[in-house]
Amino acid sequence: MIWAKEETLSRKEIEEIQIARLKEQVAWSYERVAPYRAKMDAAGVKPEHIRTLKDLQLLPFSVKQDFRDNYPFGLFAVEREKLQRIHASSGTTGKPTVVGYTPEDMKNWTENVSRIACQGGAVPGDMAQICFGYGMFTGALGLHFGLENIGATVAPTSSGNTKKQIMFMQDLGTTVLVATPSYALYLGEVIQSMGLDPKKDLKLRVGLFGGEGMTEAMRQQMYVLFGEQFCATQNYGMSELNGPGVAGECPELCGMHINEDHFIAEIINPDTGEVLPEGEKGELVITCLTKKALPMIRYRTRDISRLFYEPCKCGRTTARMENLSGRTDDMLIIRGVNVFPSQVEEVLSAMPQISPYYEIIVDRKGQLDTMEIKVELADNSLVDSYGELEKLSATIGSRVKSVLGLDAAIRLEAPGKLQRFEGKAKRVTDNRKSLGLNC
Amino acid sequence: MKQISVLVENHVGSLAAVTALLKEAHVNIKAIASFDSPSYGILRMVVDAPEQAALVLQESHFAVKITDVLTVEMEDQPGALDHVFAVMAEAGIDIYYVYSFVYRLDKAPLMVLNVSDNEKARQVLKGAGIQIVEE
Repeated sequence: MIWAKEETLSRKEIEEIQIARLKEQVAWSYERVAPYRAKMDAAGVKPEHIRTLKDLQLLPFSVKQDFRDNYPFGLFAVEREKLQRIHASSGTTGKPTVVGYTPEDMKNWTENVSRIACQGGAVPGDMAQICFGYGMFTGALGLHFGLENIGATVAPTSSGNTKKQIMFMQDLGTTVLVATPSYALYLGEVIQSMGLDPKKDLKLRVGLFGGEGMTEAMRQQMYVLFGEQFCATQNYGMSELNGPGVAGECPELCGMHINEDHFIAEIINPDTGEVLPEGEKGELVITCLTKKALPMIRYRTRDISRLFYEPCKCGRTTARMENLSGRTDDMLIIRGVNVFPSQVEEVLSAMPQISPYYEIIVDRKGQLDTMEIKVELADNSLVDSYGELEKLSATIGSRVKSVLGLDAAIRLEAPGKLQRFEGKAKRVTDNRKSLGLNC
Repeated sequence: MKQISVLVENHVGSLAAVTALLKEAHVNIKAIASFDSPSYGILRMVVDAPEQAALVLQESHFAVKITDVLTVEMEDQPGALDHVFAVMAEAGIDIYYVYSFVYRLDKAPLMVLNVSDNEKARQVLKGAGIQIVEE
């Protein structure tokens, strides 16, 4: 189901909306957000210089640090009294990022999430269970309002208490699950360990996953746990850009459709800031076209992706962003080699003998970086054989080496040993940082 | 007879972590074997309550596997072990590993054997007059 006509406009129509809104938004920011005005002045750009979409490239970037420098309200374009809602980022990487919404922003946010929910397969009448942590995090209330808006019934079960989540899932007849992909996998494991068959005992049809990236391997595991018919899609957003609702997958699974009448996406070279041609991989930069309380122009997301503009088989014409292949700040530099945890994950997930859970520990011994990967055995069948265990370690090691070009120590752990996460999974421990080393 | 195999890490205290759990569960260890390897070890044991031992260890996130092994009575005299191994060799059965019980009062040790074919081994050992202990 396609929620809005704006998802099927021609490229020309989309661009007409974008340029009109961009001009308005740049003027709004310049007038009302002193820190951004200072950046534009320093770059010698005035709102009237923005005539075509190409002129977007003249504008300075916004970055996470701007939020910290202007904490809490310095980037806002309206007085606090005009805000209807405040949210904040989790603050896992520093002071929380405070964001706010005018009543109009709330409407647009809800509209965008409604589209994402329908893209992912939700329909009016669905029973949606939201297992995101409520509170300051945008994910839970974002999906909550969007799903209510399309006419779904929402159960705000929030995070934690897995047994109770499963009880509600059974008793309410939940058809749509909203969660991080890691938590959904954990739920699936617990459901199976309780002897339930998700295909028979649950009515689950759709999974709308977000809060962290879902790799193809995780998606395959969703099918194993919840059945082949399960429609497992992911969606994209971050609190700086409202929250969820920037983009989402449709069942064609060929990238996430961007709500282009509200957001302009660009891909840049993260080192030079230069805009890259269509189809090239780089850092995703998003300009918000309708956000009034907290306008964000050319926000550097630190997420790595690429863009495609051909219309999709699903009927939507909006640009698609490829599923994330990492974050610029997730990237580890180990012995001079760039390593994304997602690369390790793809290797591990291709191996049926181990579970999708893993941990990477980076350390430094003398002058040399070391990498250890803890993986979890899928079951106990290999435990009595040194030969089988050693063969498995060696195979993982050589596959990791062929992908990363690095040696890693592989440590096999018992099934269920590695930590499960209800929110964003923390897979990497970099001990070099606690040693105060440059990395 | 049932044997439990436990995956243990190569660091100080990892064996004690296993035995502490078994002690708490009042599980008695009757035979035990462990060998060194570069990264991890497999601790193999015959205990009086294998199912319970496996459960207790798995709850503490140890990887545990229960396998069938053969346990044979030994004559307390030179050549007894040679006799067992010769029977197996003649029957073309692989012995993967062997270890012995930790106490037998004044009797000769019981030997635990993990072999390529339990049923066949059982037959040939019996045929050669070697006593197999089932419980």
